[in-house]
Amino acid sequence: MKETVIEILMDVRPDIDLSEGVKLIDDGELESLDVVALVGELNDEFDINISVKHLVPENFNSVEAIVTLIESLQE
Amino acid sequence: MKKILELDQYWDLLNKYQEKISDMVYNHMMLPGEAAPHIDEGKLYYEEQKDGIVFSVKERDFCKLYFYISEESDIDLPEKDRPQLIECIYREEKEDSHIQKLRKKTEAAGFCPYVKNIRIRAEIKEKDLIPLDKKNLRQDLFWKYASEEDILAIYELWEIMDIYNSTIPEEKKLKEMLEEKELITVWKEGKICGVARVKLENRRTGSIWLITVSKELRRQGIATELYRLCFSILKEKGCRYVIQWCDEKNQAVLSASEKFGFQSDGTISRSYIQK
Repeated sequence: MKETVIEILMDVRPDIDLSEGVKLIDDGELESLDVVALVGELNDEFDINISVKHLVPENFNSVEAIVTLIESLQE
Repeated sequence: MKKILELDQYWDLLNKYQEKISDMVYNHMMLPGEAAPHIDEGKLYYEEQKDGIVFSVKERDFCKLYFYISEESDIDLPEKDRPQLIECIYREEKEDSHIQKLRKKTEAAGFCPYVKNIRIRAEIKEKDLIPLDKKNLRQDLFWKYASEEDILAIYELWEIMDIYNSTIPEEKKLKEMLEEKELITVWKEGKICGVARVKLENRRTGSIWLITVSKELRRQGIATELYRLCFSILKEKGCRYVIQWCDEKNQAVLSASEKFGFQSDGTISRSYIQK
């Protein structure tokens, strides 16, 4: 799942910096248009429903956080 | 309209309507990072409507409206106390159907297309940098960070800008920019002839705003010097890229920025107005 999330992130934002320690939202790597596009792709790929209430920085600050969010929505 | 006092309040309202409206469309999804500065400045208002919610960012001379409404409903305008703009932000190649629907609703509500801004982006190159320890850009030009005594002259320079299509700060905000050393001025013969704002967007990207050159001193290479200065300051702050928003018809900015390798990054802001 992690690899797929990374692929989707690279697709949404080809120049994204996924280095360790980089907080994707807090450090401004992803902006709102990216998040909206990312949510659409994740919903389709993993057949989940990420809603506005999930759009908090903690859920998108890292690949690991995104994976955790997906897993929680698949349960 | 009611004022939003804290970020959680904004978030709760957005959640409430997202849960209530399954087919929501919006002109721009304003995430917390974007809403927070408006809330801090006391500019963000809202109105709950039958089929959705509208947020308004109230500037001095106009307001920008952000609708989150049902796909089936029409735009229901809040009471008008100043010209209203609806700004649709999207990526050119991926204009979502909800944006298309909102744009149609905006035109149906009597709004006129006003301006199309594009976001341009460049990589900072060594050849464009200047040494910041030297205050002279040319024999006849020098630069400095703006200070309080420059405020009047800066506002005078900005008078030529389109008030609905710019981000001219109010004095309180401008003073914060001075403290953050975000405003730079270029001087000729004892007068400010150019100004620009530089801002950090993220660890690698900076932005240029409100770049202005005195009308009577254009075509003298001052804008080019301002760009070099902006690039050098942003490079010193650790940036690798620079972004700037500009009106797609503003040839002066487009040709000046082209020299520095700026190209569209595909992000578009289309504003509609009802004066």
